[in-house]
Amino acid sequence: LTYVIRERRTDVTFESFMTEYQRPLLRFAAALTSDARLAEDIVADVLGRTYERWARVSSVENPLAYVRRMVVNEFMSRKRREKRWAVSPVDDGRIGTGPDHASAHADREALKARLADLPQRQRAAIVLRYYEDLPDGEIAAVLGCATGTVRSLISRALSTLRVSDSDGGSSVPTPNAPSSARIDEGSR
Amino acid sequence: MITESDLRQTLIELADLAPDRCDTFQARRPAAPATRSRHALAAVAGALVAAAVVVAIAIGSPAGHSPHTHRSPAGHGTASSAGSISPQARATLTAIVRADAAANGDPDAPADAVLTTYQGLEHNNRRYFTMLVATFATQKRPVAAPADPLWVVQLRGTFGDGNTVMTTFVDGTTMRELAGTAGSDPPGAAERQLAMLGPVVHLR
Repeated sequence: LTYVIRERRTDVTFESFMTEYQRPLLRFAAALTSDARLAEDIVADVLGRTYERWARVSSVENPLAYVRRMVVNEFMSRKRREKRWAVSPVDDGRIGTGPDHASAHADREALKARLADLPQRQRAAIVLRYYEDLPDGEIAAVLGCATGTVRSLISRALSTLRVSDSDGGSSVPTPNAPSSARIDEGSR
Repeated sequence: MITESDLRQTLIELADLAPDRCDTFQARRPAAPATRSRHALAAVAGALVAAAVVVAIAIGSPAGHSPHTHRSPAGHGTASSAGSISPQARATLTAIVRADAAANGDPDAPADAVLTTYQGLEHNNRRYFTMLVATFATQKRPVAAPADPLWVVQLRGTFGDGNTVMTTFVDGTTMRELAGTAGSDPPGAAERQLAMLGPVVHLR
């Protein structure tokens, strides 16, 4: 490709950033939205803007964190415009909320439904904590609030979700959710 | 009892919904009525390319086409009205034609030509320009090919909510419907923008 962006401080080109982080960003956005199509739109929008601002984005210490924040902002912005745009959720049978005979599965379906009803900032905080495994400070940076506010958002969200905190610390990474943690290391 | 582990697992399941990438137009098309077949899409794309070539020839004609305006209402121009196109439309079409040529030769040229043109357009025109090029590109080459991420992003990223616009456009929606789909644009804005690109738009 002829359009290779010259960075100011890093060796990361937009193309390589795209190649490496597009998929993790899409997964993050899907966790944020519960909607594959909306996630794709958000990420496409954000990456488009990222390209236009690449000189600036690539010069920050952690471009991924910067772009992830853009994703969160776009998510919250779209939620505010939801009535106008009336985004249709993807109906692929995997995010249904109907009853299920397996209680564990039914619990998770119910949990998905409650996640969908969370206020945007609470949802974002939950995803940043439990999917991206970010500490309070980084979540606060993404959401543009104080760490105390992050804790409050998460606490309220957990209460709404009826999630018990009995199974360990909230920032313990799980084997299946390493995407951003691994990515962050790679991007520095 | 729902635990934090359950929550993590649920979020992973949601993340698994994500597509592998910001995918091709076809992959993200909403469930279309059965009457809208791939054949129709292919026909549209073929017509689009043909129009681009026709207009490019017109643009490049030594006879020259004075920029007199005889645009019909709502952009229902014809390929024969190529001489009336605006400089932006001319640039658009030129870029499309270059992309067409490059698709058969130099793989780097499309992004170059398209981006150059894109950057020269006013903001309001970019969406529609992108729509056209994306429509073209989707049919001509794998838009979301991993080897060409820039192309994808530049085409898709400018859409935003306008993604729907592209879909309905290719599906043969009328321009008035298109204007409505464009969302925040005032009534007629999409029509005016598309009218500027009339020779191509007409060939839906």
